[in-house]
Amino acid sequence: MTDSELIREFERTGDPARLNTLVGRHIGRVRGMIYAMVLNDADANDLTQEVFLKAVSNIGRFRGSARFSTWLHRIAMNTTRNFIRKKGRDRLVLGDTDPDRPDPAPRPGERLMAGEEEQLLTRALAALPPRLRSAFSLVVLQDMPAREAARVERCFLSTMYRRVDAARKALRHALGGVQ
Amino acid sequence: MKQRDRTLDERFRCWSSARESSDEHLRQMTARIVDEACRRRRVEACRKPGRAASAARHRLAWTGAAVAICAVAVWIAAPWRAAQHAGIERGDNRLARIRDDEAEQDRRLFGEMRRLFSDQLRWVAEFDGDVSVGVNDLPGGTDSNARPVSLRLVVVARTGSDPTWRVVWHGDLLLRADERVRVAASRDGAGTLTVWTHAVNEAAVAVEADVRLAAPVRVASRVDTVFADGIPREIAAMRSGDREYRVLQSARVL
Repeated sequence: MTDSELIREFERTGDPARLNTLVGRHIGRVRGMIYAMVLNDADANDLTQEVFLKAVSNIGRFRGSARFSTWLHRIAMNTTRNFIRKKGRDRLVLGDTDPDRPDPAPRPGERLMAGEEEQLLTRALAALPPRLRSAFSLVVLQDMPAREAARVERCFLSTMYRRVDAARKALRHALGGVQ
Repeated sequence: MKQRDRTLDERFRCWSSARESSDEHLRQMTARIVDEACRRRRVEACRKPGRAASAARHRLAWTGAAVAICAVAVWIAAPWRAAQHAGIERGDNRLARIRDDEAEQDRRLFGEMRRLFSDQLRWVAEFDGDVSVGVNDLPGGTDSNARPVSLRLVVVARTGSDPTWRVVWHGDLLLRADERVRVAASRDGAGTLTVWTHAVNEAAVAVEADVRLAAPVRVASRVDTVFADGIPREIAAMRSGDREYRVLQSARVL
C-alpha cells in the first residue's frame, strides 16, 4: 500500500494500524535527519514525536502533489529549525545521550566508531550553520536525492548542490583536512 | 564525486548510523505517536459539533434573512466548461424529492440505528447502494436530543437522443442536526460529502454542504441554503458531449 493510500484509509476509517504502518515507514529517516540537526537524543526524540503529531493533525492538507516523504521532511525541517532558533542553538551541540534510551547497548556502528572520532565529527557538524547542516543531513546522511532535498528546503537544485559542497568544505576544514 | 568527498561522506554516514535508534526504540516511539494521534483525533471529533453549533448561530441569522444560495461552485474538466451554461433545460427535480413515505422510513431507520449505537451514532449513509454508518469512538460525543435530518443528493443525466432525465447516482445521508459530518461518497474515497445542518423549524432545514464527487461526473460544489419539505434544488449543472448532468439536492427534518 502506498503512503497516499494509507493516508486515505486512515482519513476514512481512523484505523490506527494504517497510521502505524505509515509512521513506522518514515520514523527512522525523520529521526536521523532531526538528530543530525540537534545532535542529542532527547531533543531528537521529542521533536520526532512532535513532527509526526503535527503531520497527522494536518494530514487533510496533504494533497498528494508532492511525495509524502517530502512533505513530512519539510515539516520536520521547519519544526527543527524553529526549535533551534528558540533555543539559540544555532551553533551549539553536544552529543549528549538520553539517559532513558531503552537500548543502551552499543550497536555495530558504534563499536566501530572510536569515542574520539565520534566527538570530532559531532563537533564538526555542530559548527555548521543550520542551512548547510540540513543540506548535508538530507543529501549525504539520509541519502535523499538532491532534487527532493531542494523541494524539502524550497530552494533551487543548484542552491542545494552549493550548500552540500559548502558543508563538505567546512567539515573538511573542521576536521583538519585540506579544502 | 571526488574521492575525498566520498571518504568524508562515508565517515559521517558511519557516525550517523551509530546514532540511529534501535528498531525496538523506533517501534516504541511509533506506538506512542499513534496512540497520541488517535487520542487527539477522537477529542477533535468530539469538539467539532460544539464548534459547528456555535458558528451555526451566526450562519443561521444570515441565512434566515437572506434564505439564498451563497455560493455554488462547480469544477469540471476544461472541455466541459464552455458548454456548462449553454441553454440547458432544468433537470427533473422530482427525482430527488424526499417524499413523506420516504421520510417516515428514514425516521424509523435512524431510530433503529440509534437504539443500536445509542448516542455514539453520528450518521447513516447509502451511496449508490453502499450503506455505511458513522459512530463516535467515545460515548457522549453527539447530542442525543438533536433532530435527525435526511439529506439526498442525486445526479441525473440525459442525452441528445434520449431526453428523459435518469438517475445515474443516488446518495442518502441521515445525520443529526447541528453536527458536522464528513462522509466518503464512494468506496475508493475519491468523493466526499461534508455536511452541517440545522433544523430551522418542522418544515425547513438549513444546510451547509461541500459536495465532491469523482464519478459518474466530476463535481465540486459548496451549498449554503435552506431546504423546505424535502423539495430539491439544483446545485450544479454540466454537459459532456451530448450528455447533460444535473446535481440535485434536498433535505428534510425527520
